[in-house]
Amino acid sequence: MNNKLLTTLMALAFMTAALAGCTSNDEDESEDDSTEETDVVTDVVKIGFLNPATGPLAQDAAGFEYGALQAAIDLNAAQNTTTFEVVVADSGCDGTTGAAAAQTLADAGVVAVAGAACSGASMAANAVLSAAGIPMISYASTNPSLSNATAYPDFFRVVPSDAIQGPAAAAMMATLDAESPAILHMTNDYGSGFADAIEGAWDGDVCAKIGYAETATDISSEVAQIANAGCDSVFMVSYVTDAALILNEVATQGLDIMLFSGDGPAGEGLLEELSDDSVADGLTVTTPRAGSSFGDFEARYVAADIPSIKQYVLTSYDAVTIIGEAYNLNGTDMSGSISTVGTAFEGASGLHTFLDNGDVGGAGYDICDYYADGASDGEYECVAYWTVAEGVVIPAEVIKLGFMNPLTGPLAQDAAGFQYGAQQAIVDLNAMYGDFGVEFQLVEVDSGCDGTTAAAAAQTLVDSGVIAVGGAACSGATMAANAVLSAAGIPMISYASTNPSLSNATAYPDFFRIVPSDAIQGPAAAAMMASMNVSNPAIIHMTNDYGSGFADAIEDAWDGELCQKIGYSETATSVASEITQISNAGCDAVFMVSYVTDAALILNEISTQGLDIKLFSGDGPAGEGLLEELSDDVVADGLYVTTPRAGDSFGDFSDRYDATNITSIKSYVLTSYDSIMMLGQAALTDADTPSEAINSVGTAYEGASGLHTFLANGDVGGDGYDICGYAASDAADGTFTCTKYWTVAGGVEDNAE
Amino acid sequence: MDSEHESKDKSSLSLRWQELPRLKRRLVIATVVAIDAILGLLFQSGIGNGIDAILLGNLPNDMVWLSQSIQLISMGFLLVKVVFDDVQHGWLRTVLMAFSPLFLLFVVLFTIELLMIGLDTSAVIYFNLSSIGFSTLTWSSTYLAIAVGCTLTYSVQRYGNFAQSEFFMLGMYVAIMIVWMDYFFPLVSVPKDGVLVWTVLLWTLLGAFVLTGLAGIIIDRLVFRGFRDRKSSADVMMIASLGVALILRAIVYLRFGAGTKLFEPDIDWRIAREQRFEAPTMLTKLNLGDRSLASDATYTHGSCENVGTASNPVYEKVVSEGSKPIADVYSVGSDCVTELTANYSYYNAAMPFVIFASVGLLLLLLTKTRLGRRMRAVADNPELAASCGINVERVHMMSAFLSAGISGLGGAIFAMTIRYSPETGFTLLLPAFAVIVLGTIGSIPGAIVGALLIGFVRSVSSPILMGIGTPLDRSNYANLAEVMPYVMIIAILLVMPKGIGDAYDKWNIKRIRTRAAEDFTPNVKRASILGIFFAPLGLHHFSVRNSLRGQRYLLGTFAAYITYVFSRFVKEHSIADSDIFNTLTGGDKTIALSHAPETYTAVQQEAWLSFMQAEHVLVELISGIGMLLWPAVPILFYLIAWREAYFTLQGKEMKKSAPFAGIAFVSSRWDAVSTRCGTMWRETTQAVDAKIGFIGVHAHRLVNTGKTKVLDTVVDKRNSALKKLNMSYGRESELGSWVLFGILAIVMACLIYWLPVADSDQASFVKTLQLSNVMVTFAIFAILALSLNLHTGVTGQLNFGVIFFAAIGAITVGILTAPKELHGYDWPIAYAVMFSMFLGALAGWFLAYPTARLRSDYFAIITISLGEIVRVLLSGEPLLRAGSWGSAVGISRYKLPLQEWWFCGDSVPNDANGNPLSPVACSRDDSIQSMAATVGEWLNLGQPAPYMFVLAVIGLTGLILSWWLLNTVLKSPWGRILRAIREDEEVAQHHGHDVLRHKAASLALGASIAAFAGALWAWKLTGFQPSFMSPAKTTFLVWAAFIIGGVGNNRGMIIGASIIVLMEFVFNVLVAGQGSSDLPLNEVAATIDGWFEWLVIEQVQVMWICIAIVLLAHLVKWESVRETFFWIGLLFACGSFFFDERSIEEAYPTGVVRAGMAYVKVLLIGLLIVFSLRYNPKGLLPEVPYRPPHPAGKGVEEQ
Repeated sequence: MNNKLLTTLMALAFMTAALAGCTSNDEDESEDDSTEETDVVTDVVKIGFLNPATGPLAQDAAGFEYGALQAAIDLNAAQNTTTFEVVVADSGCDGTTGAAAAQTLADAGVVAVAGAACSGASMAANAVLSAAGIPMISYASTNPSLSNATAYPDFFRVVPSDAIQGPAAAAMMATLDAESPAILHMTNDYGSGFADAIEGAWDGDVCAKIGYAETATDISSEVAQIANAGCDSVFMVSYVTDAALILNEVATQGLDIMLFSGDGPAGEGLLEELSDDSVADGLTVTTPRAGSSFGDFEARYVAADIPSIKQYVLTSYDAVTIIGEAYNLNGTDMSGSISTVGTAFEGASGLHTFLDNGDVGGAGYDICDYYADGASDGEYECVAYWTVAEGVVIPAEVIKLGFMNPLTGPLAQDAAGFQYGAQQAIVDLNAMYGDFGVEFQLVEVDSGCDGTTAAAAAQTLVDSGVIAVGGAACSGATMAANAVLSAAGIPMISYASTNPSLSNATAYPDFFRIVPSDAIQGPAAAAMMASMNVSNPAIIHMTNDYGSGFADAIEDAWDGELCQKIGYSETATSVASEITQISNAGCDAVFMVSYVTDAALILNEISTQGLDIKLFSGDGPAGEGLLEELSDDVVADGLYVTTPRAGDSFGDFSDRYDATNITSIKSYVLTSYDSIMMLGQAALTDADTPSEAINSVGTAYEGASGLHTFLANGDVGGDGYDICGYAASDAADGTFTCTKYWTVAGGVEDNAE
Repeated sequence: MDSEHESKDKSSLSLRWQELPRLKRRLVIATVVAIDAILGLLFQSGIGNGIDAILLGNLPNDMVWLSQSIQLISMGFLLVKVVFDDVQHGWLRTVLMAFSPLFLLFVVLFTIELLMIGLDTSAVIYFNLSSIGFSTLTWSSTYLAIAVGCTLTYSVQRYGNFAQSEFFMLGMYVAIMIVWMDYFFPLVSVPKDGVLVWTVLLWTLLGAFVLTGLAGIIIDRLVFRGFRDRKSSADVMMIASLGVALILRAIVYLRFGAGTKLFEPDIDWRIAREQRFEAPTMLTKLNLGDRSLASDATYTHGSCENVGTASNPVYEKVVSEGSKPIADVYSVGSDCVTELTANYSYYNAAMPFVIFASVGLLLLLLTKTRLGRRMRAVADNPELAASCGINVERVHMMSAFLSAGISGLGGAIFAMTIRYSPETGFTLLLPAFAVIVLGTIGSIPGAIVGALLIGFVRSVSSPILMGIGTPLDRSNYANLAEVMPYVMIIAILLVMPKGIGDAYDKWNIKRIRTRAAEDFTPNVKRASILGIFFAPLGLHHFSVRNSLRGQRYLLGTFAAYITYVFSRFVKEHSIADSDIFNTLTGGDKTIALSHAPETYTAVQQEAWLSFMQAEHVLVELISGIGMLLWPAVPILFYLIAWREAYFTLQGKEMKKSAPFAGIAFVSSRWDAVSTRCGTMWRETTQAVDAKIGFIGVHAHRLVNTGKTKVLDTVVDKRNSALKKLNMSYGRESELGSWVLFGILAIVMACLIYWLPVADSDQASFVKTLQLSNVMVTFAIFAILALSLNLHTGVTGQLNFGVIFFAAIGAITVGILTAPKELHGYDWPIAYAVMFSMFLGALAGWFLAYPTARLRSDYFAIITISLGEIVRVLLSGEPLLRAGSWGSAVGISRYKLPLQEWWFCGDSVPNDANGNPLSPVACSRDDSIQSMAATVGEWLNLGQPAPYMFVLAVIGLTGLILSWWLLNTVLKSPWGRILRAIREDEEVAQHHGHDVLRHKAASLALGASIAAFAGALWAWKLTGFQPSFMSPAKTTFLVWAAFIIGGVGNNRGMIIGASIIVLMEFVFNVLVAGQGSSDLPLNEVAATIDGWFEWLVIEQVQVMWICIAIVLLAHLVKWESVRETFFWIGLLFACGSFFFDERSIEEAYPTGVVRAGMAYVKVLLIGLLIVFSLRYNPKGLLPEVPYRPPHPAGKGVEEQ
């Protein structure tokens, strides 16, 4: 009873309210008119914006709206005669909602409309808007049938039709040597159309072509199908969310397959969607080529951190900007002035020129790829582009050379010099060959001076696509890295690994070095000690492979018994007991097979224990650097070391290095420079295998560190060794001078001067 | 064989045909049709090819073989139906039934084989067993999460809840809300460490269950209780739930934004490369169709031969030449050494585990507890239950809590698998409906079986569809897997008209009956001995046919084992089993802290440490329970069985065992305590109320008397007025209905007039365009509502396939009139429209027969399925595409009626190049004298009138014609027959009406009208995509118009449709008004924005205000207000607990809290639907029944 009454009352109230609305509406309008007539300060112009706030594209709507509103802000800032306002309406992603929204915009008196995003919504909205003579610029509708100007008059778009992206996608896959690609596509109009375009452009059969609903929540059977069919690659025609779903599924199923996609997921946004970036590793995508993005909007959008499809955020910005500028040009003929403005328009999404049917030709497509190794955040980088005229263009041939540097670990203090050498080599290589469209890049990794780190680093180098590697410094690192690199067919030239076992070409294939093996330094060291009247030397050596190998070589070459041979860990923090042992055994000399840091430790300990003994060492600590390590130079007084003899230094690198204030083992800085130079030149020869190329370069090669010729096992003969001594007193800083040298043929000789 | 029959004399043949039993008749039909299909497929010489030849090859080749394939498959299905219907009960039937799924699979593969041979190509189909199994689990658990809630609501509250998927969605957002909490948030930035964190997951599941359940209660109390009190029909509640769904979705949009979210309890959960099960699998590769190989080509078998030793196997590939094998089975990789595995990531596997476990618990609750018994009692008969002393309202509340909670739980765990937006849940709703229908509505075991079946069908059909997609150049077919559940449900309902659950119940009853009839003496001794050895398996109970207890034992053991395995898994994949914790407990925090993110401050690190300690306790607890249960449960079973055996073998009577007595005692004590507590609480509150409530009582009395007095007067006045007007029944009298219709129509007209148009020199033109646009949309919806009213309101067939019939019109007209070069047929529009209406009528007519035996809700699901099937086909089937370049999905570029005449006049002028001008060019050429120009001048528009005007005229004419036609028809005796069928089918049949034919005719008439509306819709859109058929924007809206307008009243349809259509346009003004200061409703939008910001930011304030209102309302005894604000206050209390600064940062990327008016629009639409139904359960203009004149002298009574 009450209800009926209530309803009737409500109806009555509603009716009166509505009637009141009917009548008052007129008054409002007249008031509006009067106010407008009295104070016209600026002309308020409304630009419509169709945003898919609900429906399948809803998650990207916030970004699109940001683009549109920013465009209005910028338009208003640029001039002060007109105030632009963006009127946003929800177009959904379907025609019915789109048409109603378009009507609302027409009613609101917009001069033109940017949108809609979905093609179905664009078509239905166009039916309403074109009737009202309101032009529209879509920022994301790529359906090919919208190209028809008769059916869809007054329709422009700043995204190219799907029909163009197909060839770009096919060319990308062909360039990356995909042979039997599968196409996994959404079954909406964008997905199907694009997939057809790819298939049409692909030369040959596609391995499988599978559709899925864009609302799918599980894609496992589709991916399983691709795996079963044995395809070597898959092209995903997807939006971001479902691309993430597919990538996760591919990872779950453990599929090893090349990954491609179109503009749907392209951008950093995809990585945001993924919990585990590494599933996107190796994914390559096409995305409309921005050419270059004009203005700063792109940067602002990135800074605003709104997850959306970036490309379409930029186009929505451009669409609104074009409308605004067209209005400023001539507000009475919007279609005409949009065409005028849209000629070589410099937008945030690139350079646009409208064709007669309102389409843009597009500047081609960028080809971008994702890289993520699982350890760090993923990266997204555009590496090449495609245009109708040129096909796939790789901007310059990029040759990546790997460089293994002991950035951490016992040799870390010399890493700066090695790095300088390698980088200078790249600078010189690019200066020499840059004009030929070749760009050398150095990929530097940390070899850590130990096998585990080096093996991982080598893998990183393989993954990043280097063609050859300079390094590593430490022999253990070199061995482990060689296992990884030689498996991938990547040759390496070490600039400091002297372990004799590396001479074995079978165990260490594709391995070269431009420092002589310890097998040669051993005799030099022995000869040096003999020439200094040593009779009962002890050897204290690191227990790593460099230390052990070198110590063995000295023992072999030494004529007679050794007093002591003691190993210590290169990470040792105290060598007190070892030195005590040497002291107790009554040796008359000690040969330290050490790196700089531990050589300093040993020297300090000897000094602490007050041992009066002759001091020798190999190439490990040789150089001014040792003095830097020591707080009291005197402890190094009387130390003699062997260090590879530079022979004649070709080129000016040696001088350039001297001009810097880097203190590293100079001979290895020179070799590190040479190793990269040789690799770079080898990369440009047309030999069949990388090893052949290096061999062809490495014959009488005039390097900064001397003349090098590779033997069959990848070793160099070497120019003998310099014998250098440290001198220091309480009064003066230490000095490091080379007074003698040793060669295989002549033994120890005095320097010529 | 059959041709011999045909040669005989016709009359004797037809006679003999009639005499044949149905079984044989059907078999003959099936054979003949199948042979035709096979001939057609293999040799292109079936009837279909004949028709093509007659049409001079104008039929697309695809259409012919497609129909022949469908023909063959449906004949296979007919054979299955024959087995179910016509074969005598017995072992043969049972065996045949058991093999029927395999048979159907075989028929499908056989058809593909023939099709491929006929097309001279080949298809490769892969079945990966484990992968199919995993996929089945994923899909079925996803569907089940929604279906269980749905079926619970259906059985207790008796309505189909469209908001169920929104509870699922709420669960997903509860998950993200919990991750945003300060306590859990540090985990978001924890780097991966190979160890899963369980605490967040557990709390989230618990939180999702409780909070979503609470939301369920709130909605039940605030919305559905009112409907129950008014005894509203199930349809009304269903449409109200649609409104609720819109409201919930809008709220989530507003509060969480539209961006996609992902629930990561810990990054490690999502590392699919590492955290996954790798199950061995077996791959079957079927080579169907042309299997011959080119002369030099070879084919490598996957099968590998083991020629090495067992410890060091060497495998070899087998290469065949000449032809490929039909099937190829292997379980090792192509290298012939590695075992094939199917991988299942943990985050995917968690879903089936959680959902099946919780559904199992729910079943336990329903069958074993008193609450469950009460719920079942209420489900069976609410009145009887109430009279037995069951608090029916409380049971409703409990069922609302459970059904919402379990869907929320499912949503929360689902949130871990995929990025989701507020729309994600809705895509799962319709398949979930299919699940509950398949499993017999209201039966939870049925839903489980249904979910498993549908999940299986979905995952097994994917490989087939993908396999044939490539050779047939129909890659979109893979997408058809989405509709396979619907196809399957249609097929199953045709065989088992009441679903699987019902079929099982029947079978079970029959089994119990035969059991009861048997003479069975249990062998107690054998049972005792069995018990001694196999107690945990329950064999001793099974052997004496005490299967219920046997099941209990078996399930108990099984559950204990599963718990044990699960707890082991948890322990092994958690910090409890890693060295992190040893260092944690060892006191050396440095190592433990090294696992914390590097960026943490000292305070955060401490928090992290304590978090990890809590995690450890939890994991130890879980593993402790598992360790305890696994040996304990079976041992307990053994002990009980041994004790029983001892007594049995000794021949002694067994006493009731002490533990059970103890349990009974405890439970009785608990009852006493809880009753006493309840009584005390009530007494205290009553005492307090008595003390302080006198103000309220007085106030209440005062208000009430005043209210009653006023109401009485008004009602008296109204009644006397109505009497004077000769409208004693108000809206339900003929005149009253007309009067209210007139008033409402004026209101609507006013609203249309009010729709603002910006001031410009073409304002009058835009207004005309706007009016036309609104009118076209209105005409479409009104015609569809009229058609729905004929089907549902008058004939009583629950048609949820409005869009199915409309789409027939739209698609047919679109394809037939599209230009030939764009895959169309270039028909004249008039013929195309007529043909589409004919096709619609045909579809309606033929739909009636197979569905004749179905109950109304099953008919509903079939029609909704048909709509979905066509929607997906529209994207999958190239034959249903036209007008676009290549074969892009959708239909566009079709001709529009009268467009050229309207703009260009009778003859189309040519442009400078000699080509005919386009209509748009004509309209811009002032020199052309056309109808548009004339009308434009006449209306003083300043330019030619828009084309939309023509469509509006066509639409309104169509609407008036349909209305007139339906009114005439329904006034005729036929209309009365239809109403009689609606009221009681059997009675109508008894009166000698052929119910089936009348129903078919009603469907056909309504369908052809709907087809016309579809054509109109297509013209308005000028091009459409499959999204045009999304039921949420079409069928459901038409239904809302139908229910709001008034079931069974054609005038109501007009009003309902105008409300639904205007809603969009009116609320759009609000959306547009947000952006521009001089647009109408700008102020309103700004105000809403302000309120919204206050609600989001100042939740505590809102809570206090709510509490104040609740206290005040309690004081003045205003129950409805008290309850409403109690729940709202609770909501904000929860909100202030869970939400903080971070949730605002995460939800509003620009940092400004802003109410998106597009979502406010959705909210308002939802509210409008709910409120209008709440106060008008019969609709605004209810049906006017035929009433005999009143006997004079009696007063008017309100019903």
